[in-house]
Amino acid sequence: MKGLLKNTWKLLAILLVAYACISSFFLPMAPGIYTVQTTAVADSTLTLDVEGYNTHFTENNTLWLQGKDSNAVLPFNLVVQSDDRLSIEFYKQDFTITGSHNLWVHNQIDKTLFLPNVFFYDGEVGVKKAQNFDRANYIEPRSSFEIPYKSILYETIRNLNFHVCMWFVLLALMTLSLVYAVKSLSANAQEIWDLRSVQAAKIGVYFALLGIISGSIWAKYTWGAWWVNDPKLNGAALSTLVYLAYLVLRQSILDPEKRARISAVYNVFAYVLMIVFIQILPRLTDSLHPGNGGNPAFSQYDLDNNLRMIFYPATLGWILIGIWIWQISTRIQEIKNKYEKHA
Amino acid sequence: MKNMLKSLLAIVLAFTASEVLAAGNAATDGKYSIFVAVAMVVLLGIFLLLVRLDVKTKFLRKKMDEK
Repeated sequence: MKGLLKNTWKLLAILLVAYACISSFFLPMAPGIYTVQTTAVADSTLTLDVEGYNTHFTENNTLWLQGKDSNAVLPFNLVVQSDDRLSIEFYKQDFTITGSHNLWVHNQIDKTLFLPNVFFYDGEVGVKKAQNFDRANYIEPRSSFEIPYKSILYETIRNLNFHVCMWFVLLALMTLSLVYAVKSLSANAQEIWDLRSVQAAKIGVYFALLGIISGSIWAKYTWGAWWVNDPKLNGAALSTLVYLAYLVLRQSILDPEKRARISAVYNVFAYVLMIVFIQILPRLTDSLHPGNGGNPAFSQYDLDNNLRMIFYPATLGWILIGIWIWQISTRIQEIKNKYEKHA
Repeated sequence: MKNMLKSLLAIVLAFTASEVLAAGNAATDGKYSIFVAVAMVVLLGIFLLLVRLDVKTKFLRKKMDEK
C-alpha cells in the first residue's frame, strides 16, 4: 500500500499524457475562415469568395466587412455554395473608408468568425450613412471544448502539446542535473550525486533532440523551411551543443573524482547558458516563436482557455514521464557501476 | 512466438496510424498529417528511449547471470 501511494505520481503521469494524447488527436477543431479572395471587380460592385474550415455556411449567415472606422460594410448579395464556401457581393459606394478591412461572419452554429485584413479597399468612398445594423448582436463567443482555430497554424496547433512540452521536460531535467551537480561539489557521497546529474543531462539532451526534430517538421509547414534564422531555434541548438560538449568532456577525464568535480562546474555554466539562450535572448529580439520579441503567446491569440486546459496537464505529464525515465536510467547505471566494482 | 507477436503489434500499430492519418487528412485537407508527424516523432522517440533502457536491463541481467 505504501509503495502504491509512493508511485501515485507515475499513475498521474500516465493519465495526464494519455489525456493530452486523446485530446490532441480526437478533439475537433473550432470553425474559422480559411481564405478570402477577390474574384470579380465591376464598376460599382465587387465579389469576394470565402472559404471556411469546419464551418456551417448553409446556416443563416450575417456577414460584414469592417475598416478602421465604425461603419460596417454589409453585402447586398450572398451565395452559399456549400458549408465551407460562399460568395459575397458588395456595393463600392457602401465603403466609407479606404484601406484594410476585416471580415466577420456569424451564424447560430459557428457563432462569430473573424479574419483580419482580408481585403484592401482603394477605390472611391461613399458618404457615411446612419446604420440600423448593430454588430454587438452578432458577436458571440463559442462555448464548447475544442481546439481553437488559428490561421497559419490550423490543425498543427495541436503540436503544442507535444513539441513545446519537450522543452519543458528539458528545463526540468537540466534543473535536476544542476541541483545534483551542486550537491556533488559540496557533499561526501559525490559518486551518486554525479551519477544522477549526468543521467539527468543525458535524458535532457535526448528530449532536446526530440524537441528539435519535431519543431523542424512543424517549421517546414508553418514557416516554409526546416530551419530558420530564429533566436529561439539557434538558442535551442546552442544549448543542446553545450550539453553534448558536457558529455564529451566527461568522456575525456579518466579519474572519477576529477571528472565529477570538473563536469559539475561545467554543468553550472551550461545551465546558465541554456537559460540565456532559450529564455532570455529570444525575448529581447524579434522571434517567430509566440511569446517572444513582442510576438503574442498562444493564450492571447486564441482568446479562450481550451488549449490551456490540455497544454498545462500535458506539460506536467511529460515532465513526470521525463523524471520517471531519468529514475530508471539512474537505477540501471547504479546497478551497472556496483556490478563492475565487484567484478 | 514472441517475434510473431511483436510483428503483429507492429502491423496493428502501422495500420492504426495509417487509418488515423487517412481519416484526419480527408477531414482536414491534409494539415492533420503535420500534427501526426510531430506527435509520432515524440511518441516514437520516447518509445525508443524505453526500448534502450529495456535492452540495457536485459544486458545487465545477462552479465550478472554469467557471473
